Amino acid sequence: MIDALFEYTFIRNAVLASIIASIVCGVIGTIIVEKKLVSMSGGIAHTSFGGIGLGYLLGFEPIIGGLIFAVIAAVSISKIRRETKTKSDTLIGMFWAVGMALGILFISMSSGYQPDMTSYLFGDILTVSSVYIKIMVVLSIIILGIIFTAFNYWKAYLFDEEYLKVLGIDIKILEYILFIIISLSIVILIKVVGIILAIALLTIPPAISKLFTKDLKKIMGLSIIFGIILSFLGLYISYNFNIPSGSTIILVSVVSFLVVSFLKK
Amino acid sequence: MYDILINNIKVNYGDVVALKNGNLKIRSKSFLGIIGPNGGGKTTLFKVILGLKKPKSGEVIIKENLKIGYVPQTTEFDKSFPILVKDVILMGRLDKKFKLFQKYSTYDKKEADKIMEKLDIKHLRNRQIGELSGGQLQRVLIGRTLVNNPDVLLLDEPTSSLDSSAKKEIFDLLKELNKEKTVVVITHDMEYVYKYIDSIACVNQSIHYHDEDDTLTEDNLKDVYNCPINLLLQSGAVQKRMMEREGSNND
Repeated sequence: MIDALFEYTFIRNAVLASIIASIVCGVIGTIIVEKKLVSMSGGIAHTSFGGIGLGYLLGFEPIIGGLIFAVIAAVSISKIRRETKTKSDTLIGMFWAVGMALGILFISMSSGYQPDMTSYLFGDILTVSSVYIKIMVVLSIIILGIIFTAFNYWKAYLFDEEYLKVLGIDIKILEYILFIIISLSIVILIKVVGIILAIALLTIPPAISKLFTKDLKKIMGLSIIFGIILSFLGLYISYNFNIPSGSTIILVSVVSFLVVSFLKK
Repeated sequence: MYDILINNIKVNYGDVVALKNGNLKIRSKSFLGIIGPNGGGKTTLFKVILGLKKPKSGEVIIKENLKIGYVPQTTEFDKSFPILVKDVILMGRLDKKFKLFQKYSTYDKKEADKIMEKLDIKHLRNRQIGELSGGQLQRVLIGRTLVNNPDVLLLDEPTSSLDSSAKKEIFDLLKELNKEKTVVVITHDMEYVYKYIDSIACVNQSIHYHDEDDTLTEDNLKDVYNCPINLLLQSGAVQKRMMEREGSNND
């Protein structure tokens, strides 16, 4: 695989994609886990499938459609929850299902060749194009920039929202920004591990890291390192045994979590 | 003379009235205890003072340039959150004005150290907050507020989940802080209320307020307990204390 890394662009792109995804997952995944937004993120991920379907139907880049749907879902869930006092769990479930339903509907309506959706659902890191790598880089810079230019505020927001409210900071805006960032992160992950598996890549590295440290920044740092190691390992195994990359990365991650948590006991 | 004046406020959550006929004067450097049943509006009163909740009518007048520090209930947040004691204290130095690339200065860190020393939590500075005892965590939260040097401290049930020696420690600390600051504390721990506070307000949708200059007298205590909470607060300690007072008067 090392030879192939230099020989084939698609392997190089796959490696780059997993590094970028690991960096984003390390930071955003930690936030999702600590703010207990895992199911929220699952909802956003699945809603994006509707946008992917729409992209196919209307003939524009599906991932852009996914991005738009993800952002709309994130903002709507937060807004509807606040205005109708419906539990966010319920809303997330609705968006989740409607997104998937719309995706299937749009795709069935698109004429002619029916695309294979498994690469969106389960990811196909080996088909990541150089253009997509560029999109990933830009989105990652935006995400990390927003988090790290105001890290102390984010930390306070995650720990104790009320405290920021007392300071007079509008936490609604922070919430919207956070949800949009989560949407961007998920879209980054779609090509790598797919909609269905994205949540695993966001949550497993922080879960492993939390076994080693109790400091927010260190959890993020360790998660990035674990993410890179796990996705390389998964990629290597999937390449050698010719099995699907997304599933392999996830399974390798879960097994690692189990092994590490057993050893740390 | 007065730090905070609350005039005839009414506060609603939707159709539910949380507070009505709310009048309260908080004297500078007083030690005010706020008592009352759960759901009676005590925390709402704090939220109004902090500007987190707008009253439907009435007004809240806060002395100019008054810095108010708020210590929330420890049950309000996740104790497993990965944050260290020193970082919680430093959070108190966070700028009100949102700034990009905000960093804590050496001065901020020095102030945080001073406060941790004062509160005897410096040895815990690198502990994650879930590893602290209830009393220690309460000190950390008080520290986060103190690092900003507020004029008024609002504390929401600071002793509710503590054992009696930790309760006493916290009230001793508050008494100490009261030398320089106004302290307002929501509490159910009546036995400490008598020993430490100098004025009392009972909040049960409306506010019954007593502030005589010196210590509480039996008359106004009884008055306070005529407010509807007396059935809920059948604390043996209160009655014992009342009897003790009567007993000593008879001597």
